Amino acid sequence: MATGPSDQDLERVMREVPRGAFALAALTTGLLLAGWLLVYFLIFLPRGMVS
Amino acid sequence: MAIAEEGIVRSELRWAAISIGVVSVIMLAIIYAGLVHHINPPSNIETIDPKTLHLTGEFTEPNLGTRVAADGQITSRIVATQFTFVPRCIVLPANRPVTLRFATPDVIHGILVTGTNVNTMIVPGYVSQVHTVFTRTGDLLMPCHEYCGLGHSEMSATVRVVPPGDFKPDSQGGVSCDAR
Repeated sequence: MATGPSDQDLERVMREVPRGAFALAALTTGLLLAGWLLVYFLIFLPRGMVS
Repeated sequence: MAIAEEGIVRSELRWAAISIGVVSVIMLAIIYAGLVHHINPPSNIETIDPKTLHLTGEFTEPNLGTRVAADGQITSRIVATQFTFVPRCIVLPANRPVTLRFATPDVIHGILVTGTNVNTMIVPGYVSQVHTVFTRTGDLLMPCHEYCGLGHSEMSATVRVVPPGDFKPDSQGGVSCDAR
């Protein structure tokens, strides 16, 4: 029967997981924000005042 | 395990800060557009009786379309019905502040003017008002964008934006598409 990972191994792995999730979340959120800003500056603002 | 937990808490706090930052950027952009560029959602609160708007007052048929008031204010009045706009074509000058006023005697309609930020609902019982300045000349499409019945997809009007020099009101201050 395998004894499983040691406490040291577990801590090493646990330290790595948040970075990957963070990178994915930051990329997707960054793309959404970039898309929002593109539409804002290239379409919304040039279409002029309305009130 | 305590070290891993601290790292996770730090990551979560960092992500919370980034989320708050993203939302703040977007909110500041909207506030900037409102205050500096005067781009605001139309918010006129003005009531009218939908059953009699064609009989008396501002939205009787002879008064519809574009009119230049004595003080120079340019207003275009349009009635939205099932399934047409009256008048179907209006003329407005470019680079001048104009006001569009809408009313409907029947159901909820909505309009947008393509290529501009003009976009509002037209609700029976209320007058919708939008101020804008058109920057480009040409024939702009103004469709109904709120489902109003079986003919909704055929319901549209034309906004003819002309150079200010071509905008010539007649003796009553009116400008219409037919006169061109």
